[in-house]
Amino acid sequence: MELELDLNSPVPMYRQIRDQVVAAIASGRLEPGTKVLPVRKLALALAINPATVQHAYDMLREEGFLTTEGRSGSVVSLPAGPVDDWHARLSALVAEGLARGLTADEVHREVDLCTRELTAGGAR
Amino acid sequence: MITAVAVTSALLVGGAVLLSFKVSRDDRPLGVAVPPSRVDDPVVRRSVASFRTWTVALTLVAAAIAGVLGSRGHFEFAVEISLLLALALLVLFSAKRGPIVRAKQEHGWYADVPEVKRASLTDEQEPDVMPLKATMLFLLSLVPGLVLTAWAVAVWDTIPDRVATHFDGSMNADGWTDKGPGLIAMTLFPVGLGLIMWGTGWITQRAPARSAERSRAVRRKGTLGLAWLTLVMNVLLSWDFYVVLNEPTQRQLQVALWATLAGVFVMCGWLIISMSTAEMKAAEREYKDPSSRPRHDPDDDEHWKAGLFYYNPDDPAFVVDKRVGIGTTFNFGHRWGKVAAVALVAIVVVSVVLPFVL
Repeated sequence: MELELDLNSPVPMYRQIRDQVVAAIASGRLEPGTKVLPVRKLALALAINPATVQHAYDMLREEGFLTTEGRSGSVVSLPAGPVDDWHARLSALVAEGLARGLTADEVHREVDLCTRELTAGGAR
Repeated sequence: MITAVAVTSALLVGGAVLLSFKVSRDDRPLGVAVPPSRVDDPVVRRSVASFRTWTVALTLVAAAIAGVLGSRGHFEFAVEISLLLALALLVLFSAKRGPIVRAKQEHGWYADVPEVKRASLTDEQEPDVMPLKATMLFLLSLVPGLVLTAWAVAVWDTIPDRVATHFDGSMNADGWTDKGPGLIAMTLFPVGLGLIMWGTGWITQRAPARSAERSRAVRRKGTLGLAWLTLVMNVLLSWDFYVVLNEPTQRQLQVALWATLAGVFVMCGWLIISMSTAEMKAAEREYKDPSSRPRHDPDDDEHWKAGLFYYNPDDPAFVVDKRVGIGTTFNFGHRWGKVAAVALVAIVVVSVVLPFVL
């Protein structure tokens, strides 16, 4: 699975890494049990500070999307249950859309579009 | 002979710089990152053409000056001409890339160009290893010095009390050393040299590096060439020391030293030609296969000082692909890169001072 970091994006690079890993899991491109590169090797490949990769990996571990298996490194996993604050974050995002002038139907359409894009590759 | 070496060295320096154009990516003219759409921009073409013209002119002038100085017996100055030429070309390079940098900034060449970094999250590049043949050659290069040392110890009583250890430009002895531990250190010099070269080759192969397969292939070839050079140098040096320790005639001494100089010169020339050919073939393969070239390469000029020296403390790579030419260079922002920088400066300083000291 290839990561692609947009250097001109306002989204921090650690966040881009985290979001792309989650999207890849959702779409089925990354399957549970897949081993990911160690922090230093991924940082080396991307030519970025290892602390940036570490931050992304820490977020993914806290959320349950990565698990450390001793000396084997980190592997992709699925969280045990719904993330507690997922509803709150979704609510905040929907609120932002509505505050920016989107109608409820437009918000629905965007959510459907995102879901279709992520599940097109045979996600869960 | 030294005049010929000085003149040839100047020509090789200029030739190497001109050759670097043939093996460099066209979207990095004079070390400046430009988007593919700007590769044929008039500013780029003019700057590159001007640099090439001036390089040819300076090289010919330097070779002529080296020849004149050498023919008048100023050997140490003749040798320095190559270093001065390299410095002049560096200044010229910095000057000629300026218009490209300014045009890029003033006209926003990267304004509409997506800049991304890509890497696989799951697939790891195979670690680079020293070719087995190179390892065997480095090991073999230690043998002449060890054999010479063992022989010197065995025949210690027959070695003269004073041994010639320093020679002038005409290869006549003009300095002597008394028999003692210094002579053993001299016989072990090829062993030390072999170990240093071996270590250099090993570090180059194993250091954390980010480089394309073409650069790795060229690096492996370079390590193999270095191993051959080390073996030949140590055989010749050990032979020289053997001759020196056996009360040679002036003629025998001159033959040994001139043969060593010629042998090292030929080997270095072979290594340069071999590496250049490998780089040109790798560049040709890259240009014929567009899919092998990076897409949307970011504008990372801020990390390339003067377009040649990579400095990025955030990048964990110690070795990265060169921006000009094919091959690799150090990340001087890496902690080991700083050590390498000090070592390289020391080598340059010693190279400048040595001809005047010897």
